[in-house]
Amino acid sequence: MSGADLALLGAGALSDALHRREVSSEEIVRACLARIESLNPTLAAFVTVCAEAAVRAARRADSERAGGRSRGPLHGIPFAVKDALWTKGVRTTNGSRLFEHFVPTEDATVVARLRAAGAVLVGKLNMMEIGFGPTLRPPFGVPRNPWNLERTTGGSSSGSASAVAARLVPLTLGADTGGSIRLPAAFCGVVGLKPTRGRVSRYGLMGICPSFDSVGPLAARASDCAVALAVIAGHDRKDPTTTRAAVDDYIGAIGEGLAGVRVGIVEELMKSALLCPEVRGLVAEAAAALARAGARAEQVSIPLIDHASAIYVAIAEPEGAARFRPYLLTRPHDIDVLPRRRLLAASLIPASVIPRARRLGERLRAQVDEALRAVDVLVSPATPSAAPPIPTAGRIESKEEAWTAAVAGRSLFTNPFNITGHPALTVPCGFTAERLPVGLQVIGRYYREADVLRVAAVYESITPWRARRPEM
Amino acid sequence: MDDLTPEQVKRMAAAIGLFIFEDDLDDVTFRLGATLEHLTALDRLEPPDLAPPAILEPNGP
Repeated sequence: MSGADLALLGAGALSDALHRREVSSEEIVRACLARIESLNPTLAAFVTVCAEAAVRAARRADSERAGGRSRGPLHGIPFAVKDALWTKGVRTTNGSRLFEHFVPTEDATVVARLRAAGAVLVGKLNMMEIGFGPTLRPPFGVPRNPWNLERTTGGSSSGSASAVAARLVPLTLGADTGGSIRLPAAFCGVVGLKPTRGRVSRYGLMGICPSFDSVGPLAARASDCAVALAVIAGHDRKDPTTTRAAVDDYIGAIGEGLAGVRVGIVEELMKSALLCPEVRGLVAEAAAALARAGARAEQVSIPLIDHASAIYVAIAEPEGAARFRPYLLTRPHDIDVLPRRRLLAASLIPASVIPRARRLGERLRAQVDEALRAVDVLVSPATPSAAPPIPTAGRIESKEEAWTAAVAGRSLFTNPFNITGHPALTVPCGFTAERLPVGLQVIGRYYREADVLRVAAVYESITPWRARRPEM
Repeated sequence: MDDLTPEQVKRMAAAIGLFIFEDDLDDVTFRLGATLEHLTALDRLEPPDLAPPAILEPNGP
């Protein structure tokens, strides 16, 4: 198999090839590094590439395999992480000049777990600055969507999605506060999973909003996300917010069918005035495909979800502003104009709104739980439209534009499940007339990531979308 | 609700020690105005079954 062919395979296929001794980890890692060298100048997916360390780690993996020791399905498989996750001895910028010289002295727990499973870190991925919305002049290059270089990748886990879409690396990690895994995954045509709140450790994540931040995997296939989740999920004594609830067999769930599975289509999200008709049509067709595969699809109502963006903003924005206030006070020039303006506005939101928003957030969670008593999973669009053009102007001209474009517009279908904490995944469900991918969001019960992975895997198997790749 | 003016927003920021660059001021004003408008809509959704805030007796319980 040539290096070019290797780079196009997913983590599962590469793992099988390693197991059969058809290829070495070093060959796989070198194939990824070659593709990164060739395409990263265009895509700006990577901020830092750890080429020498990756080759050394791959050789160690090969040596262990040769000695009869296997650490599991990710042994020798390359991965990369959003540059908001600590990596021991490797610069971690959080997408910002504020942290351009920060070198952590330890790994984030998720990175440590992937390394312990034998996975090989090849680099750190570009992101929207500090994870706080669009960035006009990203300090480490403008991330470009592999499906159309003039379109945004979305974010904030921009490089985590584009690197998988362009097959620079088979597996990445991102972080999701209001949709920061699912939005770029949908825009770039890959699978992205935000696990249940507390399912995955956040130790070592330079997050925005502790109430809502989650770490999760992105890959070309749901099965690869399942393999990664199996490694990173579980209690972490360094993160007291992680649950001791048992970790399911995510990989085993992938093989199960949809017979008897009840799928609820979230009525309010499908009727949103901000939803582009083309996306609505593709999501409706995806629900119909699930029904043809044996699921029972029905409409469900979650009335409070129409107000989720306001609830989200009332909690997440002040938390983010408080976290970065020291930098806003001392180094405002070192923050890009768009996140700086967002931080300034967020700093002025009165604290009195937060308790009410938290109570409403609990009511929203109760409504989602109620809906999930009647069905096994919920589905909705992941984004209101396919990837829009890369922003080139920072100026907003009205309050309406501020709300739809800058504050809450793009995350209105994803942020409800950050508020409630339910697991949510996006899987490609078709392409627009402009040949841009669209994502189907699948939401499950607390700690039932296995359900959303199973539904996504079946959906992938009955539709042609997973075979499509950007022409790069 | 009346719209905030850029001057009001500038003064609000100054009150908590933040400086807003002139170039940022209109944008921040639009963002804050839009946010407050949507947050006001949450007033109508307050759960009806909430316990009222505790009133402490001046001479103790």
